[in-house]
Amino acid sequence: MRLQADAVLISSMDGKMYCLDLDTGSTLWSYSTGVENVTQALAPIVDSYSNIYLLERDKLTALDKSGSTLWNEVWQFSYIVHALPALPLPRAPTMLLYCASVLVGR
Amino acid sequence: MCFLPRLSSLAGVAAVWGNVLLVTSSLGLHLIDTRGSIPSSTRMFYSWQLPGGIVSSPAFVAHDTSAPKTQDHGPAIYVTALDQHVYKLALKGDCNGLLSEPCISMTTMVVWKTHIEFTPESEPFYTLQDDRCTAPFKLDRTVSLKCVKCKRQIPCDRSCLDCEDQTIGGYNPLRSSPVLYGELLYVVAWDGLHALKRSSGERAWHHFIVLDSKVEQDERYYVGTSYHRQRLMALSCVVVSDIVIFSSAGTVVCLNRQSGLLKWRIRHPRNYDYISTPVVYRFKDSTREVHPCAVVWTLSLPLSPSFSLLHPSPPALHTCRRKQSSCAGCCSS
Repeated sequence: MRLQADAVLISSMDGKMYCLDLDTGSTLWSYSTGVENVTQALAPIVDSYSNIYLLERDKLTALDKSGSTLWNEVWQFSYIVHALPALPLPRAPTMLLYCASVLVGR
Repeated sequence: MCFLPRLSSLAGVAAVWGNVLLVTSSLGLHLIDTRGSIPSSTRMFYSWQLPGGIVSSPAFVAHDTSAPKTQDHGPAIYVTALDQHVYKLALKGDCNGLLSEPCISMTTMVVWKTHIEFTPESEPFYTLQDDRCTAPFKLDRTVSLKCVKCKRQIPCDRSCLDCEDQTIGGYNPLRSSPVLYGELLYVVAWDGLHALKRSSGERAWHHFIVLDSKVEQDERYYVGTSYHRQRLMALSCVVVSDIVIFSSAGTVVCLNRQSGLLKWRIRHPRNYDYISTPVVYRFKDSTREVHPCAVVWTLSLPLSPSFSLLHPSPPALHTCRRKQSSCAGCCSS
């Protein structure tokens, strides 16, 4: 499915990221991470090529604008690190601009 | 790269102001020199304490054009705090964010602070149940969220009268990061979305979350009492052109950003909660204007009960989709 309008991306506790029509709120597509009862999620990020990046704890997944998986990669960092990304590059996203540990604030 | 100095309870990270990173914590506001050659001991070069601490990432503008012409149009910072207020702070001094010269006379001034009232009509009467104190709390409708959290770890059969503080420990219904757009500041709270006037802090409008069913009302009773709900309350809104979008548990709400009038509202198809700050997906040929400092990421962590006492709010990051001249210094890329 190709999007024809701007949309809203939002993650849900059922392990899915929903793509909603910005004008109506109707669901355009959803992407499932395969894990339900998720209690935390990072908001997805979008690059200038309309690719969508979804960080699920230690895995980074890239989707196209129809919600199809482009690639995914397991990253070597713990969820306890707050990964605060800047704009990712189109093909090689730089995920860590600033980070801070919750426990020690380093 | 992790280089933040040790802070007691990190609450949020703001956009970079020149070479300066603005960080908030349970102590207040901190300015951090991001240049690589700076020794760790001097990296955090300025701190300003706010009693009770800050619970959000700040919304930041390098040049505050909303200030009267007779006043300095320097940097302004908007934060939500544990005392259930939204603050507008002004940074004064000789620091321009580029740190070409040492900042030796920085001061922070409170321009205004607004108490977020939870008006009775949004939910006239609450009974809350603490995670640790299982006795139900009865809230006075005129006092909003009194006795939400016991200050001490008291036995579970104690009543609300034993609660000494309504905010310490993180049971604050105001935890989201504010979003600045035009002349309005948008703040998500547990009862809906508050739009404040940027210049004065007065409330422009307030959209209540409408509870459609008994199930929803029961769910609402537990807002602020479970750690899951606490994380949900840290979610922020996103502003796009003439609309503002936010989520509240299992509902996504879209409003006219000027009037607060409802444009659309949807429930989750399976009644699950939405657990991230919404992000607007734009196309290259889109004519919509996305606010460059809208919240793009919000990160929530599974906090242990003991840890919650030290860490009132998960951090959130404001970053920018593109750099604009009117937003100089607030964009992170």
